Amino acid sequence: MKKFDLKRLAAIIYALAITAMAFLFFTNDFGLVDIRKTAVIIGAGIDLTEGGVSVTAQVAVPQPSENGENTVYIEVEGDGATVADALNVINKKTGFFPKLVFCKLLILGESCRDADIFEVLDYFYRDDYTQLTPVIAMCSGSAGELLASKMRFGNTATVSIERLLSDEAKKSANVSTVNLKMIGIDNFSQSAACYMPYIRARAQSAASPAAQSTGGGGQSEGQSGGEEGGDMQEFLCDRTAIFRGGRFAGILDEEQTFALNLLKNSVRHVFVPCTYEGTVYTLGLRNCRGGAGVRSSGGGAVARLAFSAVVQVNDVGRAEDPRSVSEGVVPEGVLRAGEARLRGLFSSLFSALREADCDALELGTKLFRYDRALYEELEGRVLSSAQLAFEVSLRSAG
Amino acid sequence: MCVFNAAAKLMIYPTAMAAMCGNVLWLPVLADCLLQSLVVWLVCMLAARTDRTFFELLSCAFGRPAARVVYVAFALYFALSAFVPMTEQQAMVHEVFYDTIPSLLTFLPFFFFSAYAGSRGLTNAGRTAEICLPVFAVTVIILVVMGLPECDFSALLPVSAPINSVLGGCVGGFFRFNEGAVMLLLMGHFRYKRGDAMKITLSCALGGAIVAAVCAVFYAIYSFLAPQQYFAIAKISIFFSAISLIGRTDLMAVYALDIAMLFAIAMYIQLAVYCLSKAFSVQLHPLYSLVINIALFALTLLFNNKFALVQQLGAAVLGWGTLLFACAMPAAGWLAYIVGVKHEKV
Repeated sequence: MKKFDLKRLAAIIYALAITAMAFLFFTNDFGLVDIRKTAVIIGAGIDLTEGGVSVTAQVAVPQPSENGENTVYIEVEGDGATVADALNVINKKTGFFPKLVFCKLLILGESCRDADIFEVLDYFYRDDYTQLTPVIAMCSGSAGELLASKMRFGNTATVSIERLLSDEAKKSANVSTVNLKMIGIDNFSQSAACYMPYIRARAQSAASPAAQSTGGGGQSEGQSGGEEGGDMQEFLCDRTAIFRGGRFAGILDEEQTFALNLLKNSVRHVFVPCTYEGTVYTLGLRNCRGGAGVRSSGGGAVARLAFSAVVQVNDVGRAEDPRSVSEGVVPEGVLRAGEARLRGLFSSLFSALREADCDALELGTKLFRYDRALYEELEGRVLSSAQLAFEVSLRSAG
Repeated sequence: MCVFNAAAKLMIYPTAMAAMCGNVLWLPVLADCLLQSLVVWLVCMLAARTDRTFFELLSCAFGRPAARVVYVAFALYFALSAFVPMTEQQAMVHEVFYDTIPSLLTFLPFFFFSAYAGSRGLTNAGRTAEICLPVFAVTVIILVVMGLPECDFSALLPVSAPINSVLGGCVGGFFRFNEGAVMLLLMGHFRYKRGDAMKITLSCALGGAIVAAVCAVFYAIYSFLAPQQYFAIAKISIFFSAISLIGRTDLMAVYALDIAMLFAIAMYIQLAVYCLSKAFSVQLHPLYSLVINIALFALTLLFNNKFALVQQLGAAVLGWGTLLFACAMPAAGWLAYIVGVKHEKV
C-alpha cells in the first residue's frame, strides 16, 4: 500500500491557501459593486464661484431592476475651495463615494475664463484614481446648468456632448476633441498653449415638430433641470477655445476650428465648399494628410502649413452631365479653387492664433525638438516672428 | 536573467527616470544596463575558468569565516533589494486593481507566496523563469501594442540632454541594476558551456533594452506629464480606443504581468535564503524564508504610506549597496580566484 505523504499534503494545502489568498490580492472584490451605495460620475461641470469652485456631477445611479430602464441620471452640485473639496461635498450630500474612473466628460464653465485652467484641473492630474482619458470642453454660461439641461438628442447632456465630441466627429474635422492628457501635454510643452471645443447650447422649443419627433427618452432627474415640456437644448461644438499658459486667449470661429482640425487631427473624410466660375462645389476630401511644421530659413523660422488630400466632387450647385459624374474627374480649376479655399482657412487660423499669441499649432515645441539652437534664439516669439508658407495639394480621385 | 531583469523595473522606474531625465529617460536605462551587462559578462568569464561557487572561491582565498560574513551581507542586500520593488508592487496593486483605497491586508497574500517561494531552492527560480518568460513577453507586447496608436515619438527629441541630468538618472536608477550580484551567486551552480557567457550577457542586455523601450513608449504617450504617471506599464494602454467601449480589458495583461513581477521579487528572497543557508551551513530554507518575510512585512508596516521615502532611501542607500555587491564583489570574485589559484600552486 502506498505510504501517506504528509509533507506532500501540506504542500498542496499551502498551495491552495496561496491560490485562495491570491483572489484577495488580484481582484477588486471580484468587481462586485453594491449598487445601493454606488454612484458613477459620468460627467462633471466646473464653475468658478466667489467662494472657490462649484462642481456639478452628472451621476448614473444604478437601480436594482429585473427589466427595463435600470439607471437613473441625476445632477449633484458641490461647492468648495478646490475641486477635491467640492467632490467631497458631493460625497457628503449623497453618501455615494464618487468614482471618477468612469468620468468621460469634463466641462469648464465660462467663469473659468478668468483663471488658469490648470489650477482648476490640478486635482485630475494628481488624483491616483482618475485617468487622463476624459474629454474636456469649455462652454458658454454655466457648466452646471449645461449638464442639467434637457436634451433633444440623447437622454443626458453628458451622453449628447460625448456623441458630439466622439472620435468619429473628430475624424470629420468638425470638432476639436481633446482629452485631459492632450491639453496637459500641450500646456506644459515649450509652446505652452492648448485648445478645447467650445460648446454653445441652443434652446429648441419642445413644441416644435422636430423636437417632438426626435426628443430623447430615458430618465433624467435634474435637480436644476427644466420643467416638463420646457425648452429642449441642442449643442453646437464647432468653435474652439484657445489658451495660452493655461489662461483663456480667445475663441476660434467655425472656419478657424475646421482649419485647426485639418492640421492637428488625423481626419478621414471632410467636406470643403468652394466656388469656381460662379458655381458652388462641395468637395469631399479623403486620404487627408495635414500638419504644421517649422524650419529655419535665413536665420529665422518658417511655419509650414501643409495639407494634401484626394478629392471628389460631392455636390455641385447646378445640374451636371451624368457622364462627367461617372468619370469622377475633378476639373483642375475646381482643385485650384479648393486649394485657395484651404489656404484662406489656414491663413485665417494663423492670423487668429498670432493675434492671441497662442501657439496652438505647437511651432515652438517642434522647433525645440528639431532645431534647438534656433529655438533658443527665438524663445517666446516663435509664433510672432515666423514667416508663413503653405503647401496645399489636392488631387482628383478620378 | 532577461525576464527578472526587466519585470521588476516596469513599475515606478520609468516614472522616476522621466522626472529625472525628461525625454532622454531611456539613456540612463541603457547606460546602467550596459554597465551591468559588462559585469555579468565578467562573472561569466570567471565561471568559464572555475566550477566553484563564489562562496567556495572566497573560502579558498580568504577563509570560511570571511565567506560567511560576506554571504550574510549579501542576504541583507538581497532582502533590501526586494523591499523597494515590493513596496512599488503594493502601491500598484492598491491603485491599479482597486477603485477605492483598500486595506494594507490586501497585500498580505504576497508574503504567503514569497515565504513559500523563498523556502524552495534556487532551481525553483530557474523553473519559474521558464514559465514567466512567455507570460512576460506576451503581456508586454500586448500592452505596448495597445499603447502604440497614442505614441508621439517626436516627444523623445531632441536626443541631446544636459550631462548632469543623464548622470543623475544613471545614479538614481543604479540601485535597480543588480544582475552582476545575482550572476555572482548563480556561478558554480550550472555547468558552463562554450558560448554561455555571450548568451547570458545578451539576455541581461535584452532585459535592459526592453525596459528602455517601455520607457520610450511611456514617454511618447505621456510626454511632459510622464513624471506624474506612476505605474507606467499599467498606464500605457489606457488610451486604446476599444477600452472606452469594453472596459479595461488591458488589466488582464497587467494581472498576468504582475505575476511575472511577483516571481522577480521572490527571486531576491530566494537568493537571500540561499545566502543564509550557505553562511550558516544549515539547510533550513523554510526558517530563513520565514524570518526574511517577517522582517519585510515589518518594514512594510513601518513604511506604510511612506512610498516616496522608500524610493529616496532606495536611491540613496541601496545605490551604494549595488555598487558594492553588484560591481565590487564580482571584482572580489576575480581576486579570490587569482589568490586561490596561487594558494593551490603553493
